[in-house]
Amino acid sequence: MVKTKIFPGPAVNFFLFIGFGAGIVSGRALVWPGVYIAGFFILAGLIYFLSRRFRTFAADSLVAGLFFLAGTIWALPLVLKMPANFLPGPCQVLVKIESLPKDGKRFNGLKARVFSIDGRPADFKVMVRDFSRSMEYRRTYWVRAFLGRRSFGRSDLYFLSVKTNGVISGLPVGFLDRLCRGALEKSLAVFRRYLNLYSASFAASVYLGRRELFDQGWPVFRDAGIAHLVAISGSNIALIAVTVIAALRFFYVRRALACIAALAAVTFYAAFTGFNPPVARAWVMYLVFCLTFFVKKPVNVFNSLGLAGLVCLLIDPGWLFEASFQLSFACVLGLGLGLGLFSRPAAAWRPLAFVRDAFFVSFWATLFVTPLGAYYFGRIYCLSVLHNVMLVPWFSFISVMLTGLLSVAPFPVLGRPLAAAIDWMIFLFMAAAKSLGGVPGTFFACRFNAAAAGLYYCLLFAALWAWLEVISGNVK
Amino acid sequence: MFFFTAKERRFFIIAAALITAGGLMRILGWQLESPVLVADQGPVNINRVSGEELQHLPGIGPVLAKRIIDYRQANGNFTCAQDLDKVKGLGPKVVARLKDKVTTDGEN
Repeated sequence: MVKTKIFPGPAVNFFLFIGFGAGIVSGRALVWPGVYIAGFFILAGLIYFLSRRFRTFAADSLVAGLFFLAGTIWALPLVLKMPANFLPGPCQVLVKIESLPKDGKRFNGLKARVFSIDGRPADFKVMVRDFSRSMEYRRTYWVRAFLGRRSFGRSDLYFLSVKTNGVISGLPVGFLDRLCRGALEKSLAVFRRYLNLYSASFAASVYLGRRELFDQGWPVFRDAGIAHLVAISGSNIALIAVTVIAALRFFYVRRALACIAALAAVTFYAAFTGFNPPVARAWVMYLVFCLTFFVKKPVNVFNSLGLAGLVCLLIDPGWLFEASFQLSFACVLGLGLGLGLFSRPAAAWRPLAFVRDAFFVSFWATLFVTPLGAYYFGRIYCLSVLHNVMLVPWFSFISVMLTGLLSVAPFPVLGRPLAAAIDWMIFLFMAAAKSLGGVPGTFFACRFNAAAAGLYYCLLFAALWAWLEVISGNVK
Repeated sequence: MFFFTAKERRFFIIAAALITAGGLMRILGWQLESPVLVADQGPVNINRVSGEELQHLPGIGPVLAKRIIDYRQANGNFTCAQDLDKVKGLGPKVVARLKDKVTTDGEN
């Protein structure tokens, strides 16, 4: 069957998400609450009038406009809580630590989220220089500190310097934080007991989301064009879900039960790794997948992607401006469009089919994230498609083995040989990534501005539309 | 693009209205919200406070708080801040940092 639409099926949520997202951008730039609220009522009345009289397409399209105006109002608190409102200087801050402390010569380095400054509500991320060396992962503190800002490329980095006697008090740790911290400590202990130091840092970074423990590996991933593997993202969620389902199905557990167990595992993993935007996106999409499985309806990728986007932006409209959120959505959009619209050549041999699928997934993801990579990181990767084809399956296999290691940790007889195999796999993986990253022409420096990135996407969608017109026979 | 049934249209309009109302409430809520600094009220008496209050101290988590309480119950009151050194897991560095922030009956 020839496909004739870029977005097949009722991808309503996707368009509502686009409207809502555009509203958030607009609401952050132009603070006109009165105009937005008045516009909302006018538009709602117009929709009511049009739908009663004509039942037109216009009435339904205006619903996206309604979501646009809802987005503008939902984004207004962002403006009130912008870090720039509090800069610069000493202040009293309520801060929650979101990373493990990294030992420096004079201070511990930490990532944290600020919730209040001098009694005024705030909400943004900071790098903490903890001279007191007493702040702990997942704890909330009142501190006396100096808040400052530095610009790196296109993004501002806020930092908080906490003096030796700067910590005023720590708040009691909540149940979820205690649970997550306990799980992290136990998993880290397993990795450190079984694996060598380098592999344990690798595992803590890519599997537990504690990137601060593996600084030495970051340039290798970045140069090879596989930096997305270091961040906990949708692929981790998918791997966890698939591993749990496969393991339970191996023991003949019913499919529905396996699905629910995987959902529980994925939910815990998402909370445990910090529920960042790509993980939240993947979690909602998996939830939609489970629901459609139970009501026996087909999954529409764009609908579930749109719903995931709406949920993410309702949780925190500020995520829309984060690189990880944009990259994650661009990647899934690319996969949905590319794999949905273009049929892949047949492959008789199974391993060849696997390589073919890996290539197409990598190609479409790269095509859609390239402008964002050029905008945020100033690089365009030419060979990363091939690198991903080679390294991502390998990496996935390591992740599955790490899950296995955590499962058999109480039995050293099983754990030791598995750990030895993982050590070798990680060593070879990093050696391969280093070699591939060193190949001349892997990437070149190129920085896009917002207009160039927008133009790229316009051209890409125009090309897809033109292709559809050709294959559907409208153009001869 | 898309055509809604009457029910769907009503659902989406109500959803957009709820989000808008939620946005307005968020603004109002944050204007009224004023987080209060919980514990900057002088030194903490380690012979009297509960485990939860001990967790307000820098470097003291739930595990260490429990150990301090257990030590207090097993060996009686602390006589000075330096006695914290005897609790398992509290090294000299942590104790030195806590010195100004805690007090005992003996010192009062």
